[in-house]
Amino acid sequence: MPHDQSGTGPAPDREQLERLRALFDRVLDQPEAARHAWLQANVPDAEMRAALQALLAAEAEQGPLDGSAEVHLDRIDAGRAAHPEGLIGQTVGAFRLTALLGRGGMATVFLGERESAGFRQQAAVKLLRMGLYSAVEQRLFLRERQALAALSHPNIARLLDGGVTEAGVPYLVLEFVDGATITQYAAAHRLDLSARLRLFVVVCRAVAAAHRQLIVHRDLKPSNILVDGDGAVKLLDFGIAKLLAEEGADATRTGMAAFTPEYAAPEQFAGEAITTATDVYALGVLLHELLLGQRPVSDDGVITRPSRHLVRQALSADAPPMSRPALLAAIRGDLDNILLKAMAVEPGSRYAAAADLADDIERHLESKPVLAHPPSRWYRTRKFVRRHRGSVAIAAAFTLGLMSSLALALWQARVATIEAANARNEALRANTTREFIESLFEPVREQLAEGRMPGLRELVGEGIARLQRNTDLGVAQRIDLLLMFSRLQEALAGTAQAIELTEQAHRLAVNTLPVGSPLRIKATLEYGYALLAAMEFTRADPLLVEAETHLRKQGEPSEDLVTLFASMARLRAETGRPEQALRYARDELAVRLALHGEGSGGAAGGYNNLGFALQAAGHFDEAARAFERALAIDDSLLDPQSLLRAAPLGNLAQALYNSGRLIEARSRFAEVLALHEAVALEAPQRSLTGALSMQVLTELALGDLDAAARTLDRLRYWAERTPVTNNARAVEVRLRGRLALESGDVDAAERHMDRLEPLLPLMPEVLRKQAQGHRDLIGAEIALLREQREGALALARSGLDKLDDKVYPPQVHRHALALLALACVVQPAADDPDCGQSRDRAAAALAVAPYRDHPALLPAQIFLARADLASGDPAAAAQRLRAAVAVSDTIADDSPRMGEARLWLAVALAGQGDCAGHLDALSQSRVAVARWPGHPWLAAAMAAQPERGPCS
Amino acid sequence: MNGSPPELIVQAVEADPASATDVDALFAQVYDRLKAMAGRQRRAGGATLQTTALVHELYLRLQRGRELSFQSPAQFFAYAARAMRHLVRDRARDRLRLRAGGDWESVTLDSHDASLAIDSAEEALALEEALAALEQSSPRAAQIVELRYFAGLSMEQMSDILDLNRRTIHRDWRFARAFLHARLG
Repeated sequence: MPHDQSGTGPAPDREQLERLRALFDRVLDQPEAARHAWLQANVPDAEMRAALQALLAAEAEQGPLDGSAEVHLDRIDAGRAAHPEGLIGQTVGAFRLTALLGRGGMATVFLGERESAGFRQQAAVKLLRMGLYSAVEQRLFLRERQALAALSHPNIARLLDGGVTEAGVPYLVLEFVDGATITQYAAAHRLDLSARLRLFVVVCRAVAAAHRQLIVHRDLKPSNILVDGDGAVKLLDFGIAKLLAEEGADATRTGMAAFTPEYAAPEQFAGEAITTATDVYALGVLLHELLLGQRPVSDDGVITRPSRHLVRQALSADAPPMSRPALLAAIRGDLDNILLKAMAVEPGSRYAAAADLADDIERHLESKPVLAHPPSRWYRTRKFVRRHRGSVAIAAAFTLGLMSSLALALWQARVATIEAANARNEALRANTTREFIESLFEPVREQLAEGRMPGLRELVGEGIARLQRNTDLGVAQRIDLLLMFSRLQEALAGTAQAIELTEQAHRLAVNTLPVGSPLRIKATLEYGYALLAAMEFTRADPLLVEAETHLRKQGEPSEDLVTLFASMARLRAETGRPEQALRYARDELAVRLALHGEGSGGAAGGYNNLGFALQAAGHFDEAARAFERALAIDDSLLDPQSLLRAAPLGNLAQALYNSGRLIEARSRFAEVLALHEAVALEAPQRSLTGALSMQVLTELALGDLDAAARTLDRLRYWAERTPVTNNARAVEVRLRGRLALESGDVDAAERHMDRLEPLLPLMPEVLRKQAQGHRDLIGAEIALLREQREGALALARSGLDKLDDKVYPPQVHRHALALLALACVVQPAADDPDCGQSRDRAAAALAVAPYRDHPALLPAQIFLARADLASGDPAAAAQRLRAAVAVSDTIADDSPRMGEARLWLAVALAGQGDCAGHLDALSQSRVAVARWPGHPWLAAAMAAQPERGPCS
Repeated sequence: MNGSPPELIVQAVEADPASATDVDALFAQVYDRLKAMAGRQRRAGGATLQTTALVHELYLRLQRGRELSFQSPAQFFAYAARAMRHLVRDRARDRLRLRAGGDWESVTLDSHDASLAIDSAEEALALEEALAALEQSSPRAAQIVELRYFAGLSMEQMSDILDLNRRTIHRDWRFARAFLHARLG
């Protein structure tokens, strides 16, 4: 197990435990009142005494061992229902579960009953086999469920209710249908061919009704299509597969196929976009089964022609009651074509909607010509599709009418706003616009007649071309359409084309619209954002500033302002102007608060962004306060176990670390880690390995080397689950080296750093440079210990080069500066340009908050103090170390760092002639010296103690 | 600790006729308890292989001729106690996995029970870890915990089985209990 069961501490060794045991028995033989005194008198070792006191306290308390294992087991199983039957009798929503109806991979269905006013209502209660563990997941589920509840059709089982039980089990309450599956019904009633076709049309019409509300079933199959005793068709489970599929972000739930393979369309297997055509495919399979009594056979995804299938296979008992030749004759031709069209491999080649399939069946029943084409023509189309696979891939299989009316509605809604703002100058010429938008879909109409569906990419491309040619449109419409196309283009093809379109819109607006016109501001903003997205900071800046001037004049808080301020904050931070970024972040927060109020998710986002800006500006304490505020809001909105909390928690922990509040940082990092590890990830997220490595740094800085070793084990566990190129592996290795050095095992540190080498070529340039920088710093420290002075200087210089002041966390760069200062003094090289100012540079970098008082920089302060000493300035060294030791009161007294600091302080004080201080520092270092015999840091500092002089 | 029979710390008493009936009664008591606990596990639906195999093997041995298959009653009790310990541990692990997974079927509809269960499972794993630590340095005390806590034997029964005087057992238990509770915090 990689987990550190916190609080258990290191396992005591056997000898220690035997001693503890013997003393425990003896102290318990004492009368209770005398035990304390007995311990004081007989156990000189304070640690042992504390352990005994803990045992005595535990002895007097009740604990789990006073119960029995059976009771414990029962509590672990509390509330567990052994079998689904165990839930019978429980109440879900308003319904009491009375019987088990069935169970599947994704859900178990119960018969539920409720009584009101003497009337008994039955319903199917579906408990979904997925956990909704966070408030966000639950909200998503409830929102989807509301969409389903609005779906009202006589042939669709109604969703009566739904929700989430207290324990997070999502459930749906559906109209209870007491019937047989459609295939069973057809076989049992020996329905003839045309009765089956008519029944099927009813199914198609119901599916079409759902499609009109943009709800796709995704899992149509006979068991979801029931026919009751009166012959009425009811479709079950509309949209439920989608509820399940969208919820599967958690790694533990992947692999759950939210469809049934026998009825699934090729795009479902391929994990591609699901459209209404997906349901058409399943309907095709169902029709095949209804007409032939068997599901279709496919060869590499291409369905065997049904009449050929019939020739090859024995006639199923479930087929319509007619002779084989008669059935063959009935299928051959139209029905063959209809089935093949419904089950075409490419979604774009199928009927665009269930309604079209129903229409074709009805035409066939009325002996009219059907739309489904003979295969020769389909073959040509398919060839064409293969040639244009890219564009057809995202073909939206909505009906033409739906698509154009939707686009128009969207457009009109947007124009209405503009119109209200600037009515006279930019009046909407509705008819022109309508004509233009409809003209956009002309090629679609043509291509559909040719039997194919154009892709969205094609549509947008065509639309842009037509817009350029069109002369009837007014300026406002033109600008607005350009902006609409640029957004579509950005989603489809990336930023470059979007920049071009927004630039056109902007140019047009500047040339034709008055300054301050809302549409002109809008075009300016969009152009600026497109440039910002492409990291074109210098071009984006003036545009956004111009838009800002106008938006501020309006004085109204708006989402536009939030986006603008957030973008400006990012832009200024990215271009090295952190204080300006900070002003924008403050403005952003103010607008968010005005719009959403304190305590809203919007406010949390604002505090979070402000925290980042503060951090970038080096105001870590304030950043921590901002992140704390964001976290407090998130905590009030989110489930305590929600992984979404990891981000604000992690941000807070980083800010706390950077401001030197290591104890708080440590407990916050621990919270982040607990959140991550509680969800049983298979592969770690970057924020998990990041938090682990920061936790190692925190524990090293606190001098808790045992804890750092344990956290490193956890980091290794997760790093091993990342690709070999992942930075986490290199970080683990170099932190191991750092820990070994810190523990005084120089050889082990070198061995660890050797393991870093093979990882380096695999890493991206930026990270490789950092890893090499860390390697060089450790190498320099080792060289200093071995008195290889020249090597130390070269390595320190190289480390500092690679770890500049942009490297995170920012203490690293300061550490490197101080190390170089020391390496320069022990290897005097007056002509070395890096050395001349090295001590002053390091001293300046370590003199400002929060670095001056940062416990993680204690080693850097020691380096610099040693440089002071070597330069003959014991007073500066003493002052520096006194201050560093004083602010590092959170660092363990028995850690090598603390011991080393005190020993060098003793050297400095002796150099000043302060013998009392010298002796005091020496005696305070004893606990570390005793704990780390032979530690080279301590040995070097001991060797530097004065042999003669007043204090010897 | 992978389901292998635990080594006995102490030699078992030679079965002497006088105590045979006591041992029989004790035997039945432990057997019933084990059966009940395994039954609980089956009901809860989580079959963890190791434990199931262990319990199953024990049943087989018992059916074939009860204590005859064991070298001594003490071995049987040690075996049974270990089986029960594993059962609790595995159950606790399952439960914690469940929290991360999403198997509603085993999840209560009531959140109070769920948090009690999670707390108890975490406690059980902490106890398991502490017991493993105790076992490293003080195996006899750890076995006393197994026999008493997991198999439900009384001081007197343990004294008979292990052929240790009661004072020793009492002291072992007293220490183990304090040690484990201290580590559980």
